[in-house]
Amino acid sequence: MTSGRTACHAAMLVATVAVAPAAAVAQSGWGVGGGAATRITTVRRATLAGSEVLSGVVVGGEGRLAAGRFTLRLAYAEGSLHPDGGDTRQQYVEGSVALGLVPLPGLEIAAGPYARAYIVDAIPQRRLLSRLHARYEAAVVGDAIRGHVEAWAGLLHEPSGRAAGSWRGGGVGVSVQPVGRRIAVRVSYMIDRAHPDAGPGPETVEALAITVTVGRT
Amino acid sequence: MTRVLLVLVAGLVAGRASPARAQDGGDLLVQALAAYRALDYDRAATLLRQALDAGGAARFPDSARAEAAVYLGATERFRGRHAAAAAAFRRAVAADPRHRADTLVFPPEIVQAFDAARRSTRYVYVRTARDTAITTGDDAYVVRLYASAPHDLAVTVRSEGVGDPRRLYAGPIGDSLEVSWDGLDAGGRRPLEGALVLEVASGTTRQHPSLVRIPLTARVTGADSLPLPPVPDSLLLPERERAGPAVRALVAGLLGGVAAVALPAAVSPGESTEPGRYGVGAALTLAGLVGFIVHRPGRQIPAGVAANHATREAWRRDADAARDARGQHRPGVKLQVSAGRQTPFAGGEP
Repeated sequence: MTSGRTACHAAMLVATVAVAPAAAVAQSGWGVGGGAATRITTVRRATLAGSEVLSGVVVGGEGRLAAGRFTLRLAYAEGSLHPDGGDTRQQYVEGSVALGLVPLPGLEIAAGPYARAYIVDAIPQRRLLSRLHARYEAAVVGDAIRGHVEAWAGLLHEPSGRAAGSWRGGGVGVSVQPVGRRIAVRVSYMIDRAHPDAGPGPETVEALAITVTVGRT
Repeated sequence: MTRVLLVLVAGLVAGRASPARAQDGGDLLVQALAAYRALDYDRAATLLRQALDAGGAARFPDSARAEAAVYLGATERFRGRHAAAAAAFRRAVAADPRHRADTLVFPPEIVQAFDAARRSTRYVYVRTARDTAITTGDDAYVVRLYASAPHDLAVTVRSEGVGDPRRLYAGPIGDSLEVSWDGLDAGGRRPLEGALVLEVASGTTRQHPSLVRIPLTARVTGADSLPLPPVPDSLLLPERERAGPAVRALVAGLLGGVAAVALPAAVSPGESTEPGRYGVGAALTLAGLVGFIVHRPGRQIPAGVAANHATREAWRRDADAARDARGQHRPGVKLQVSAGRQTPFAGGEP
């Protein structure tokens, strides 16, 4: 993949999350939100030769559809990661779908599949995961500044579906939404760690993201 | 009566009237009465007419002008000018509809002629309190009417130049009549405020009615004695911050900041190299401090104050609308009513 294709995907995501909510959010009982994110991502993982550190910028989008207490979350991101001290660039792609429930105001518990892939010379190295995700968001300064914390845990899967390891992670962030506006800016930090049952060792992904959102995400 | 008239006129000349104009009318009247007693009716008629037409005559009391007009009518009658006499008698009735020819002063012929003229006219004298306060719906603003002769009349009060009139009375009047106004508008619902006009129309249009207008000024000076029921608390927003939001903001910010710093240690100990998490943690901590200050206990909430003001206004409007729908008025509004000088318009014979 090229950086041009990445930009194209990002633009489509932004259009999807920014325009579609405006048409749908007015319907009572339904809530739609979305955002476009830029993430500085760092991957540390064990290899047969020892370990490697990859870093780069990943661009993506996210969407959230709420109907009463139920939610549907979609996310997609991709970008290029560069190894420290190396020239071999790797394409990074991730995507997820999660169905959620809001048992208490601000608290959302969701579950669903998650996929992550590293592509080197058109050969993908995939991670298939399932996760249980909890997220709590609260107003800090009125509705203008809100904060959130999240945590998740899950399983690594082989292509056959068999469990092949564990996975956990968490994140924290703060969003600023000017009074009277539907657009907000969110800064967040997240980190997760996968423990494959087989292979060279664990893999840690860490990211600092800036997300522009529309509606409630 | 002549003595009374002279005393009134002398009093005006000596003190009440403006010097030059009252002097004219007063002197003329004194000279006219002297000529009348000397049976010099031509001179008496001329002087009486000049006295009544003089600028200072308007300052005479109504009863004095009426008496002077009766003298003029008697003088004209003695001169054989019956039409002029009748006109003078009507002038007397117009000045004071309650006035009667004194049977001790004037001969029966004059008294009968005056009574005939009085019965053929329909003038009304209106007496009102110059300045009074009433409670709408409970008290009444009293208007007393004195008629020159029995006839039909209508009494209304309305805002000057606009709005439907509030009809106070329509029907016959004998010698006198008392009419009251409860201070409310044409619909009987709201206080009638501002510049008003009290009108007394005698007769009908076909019968050349006379019209008396009295300017009134009415203003509300007191609140309802029965206030509106209070707005339910469930409809109101907080107007002052309580401790809860401030503490929650501070705790959320501090915990978020700690989480940002401690999260890597919990998930992947010893592997984090992302310094940006400190920025996120600092932002959350700072937001928590700002939230604590913004939501500090006791602080006024402008949005809540504005929303509650709008809610209370809507509540009052709804209450008024409900009263209107039931045909009720706002009870107990204090209304200060001031009356101006009455102005008679065209009057006539039937």
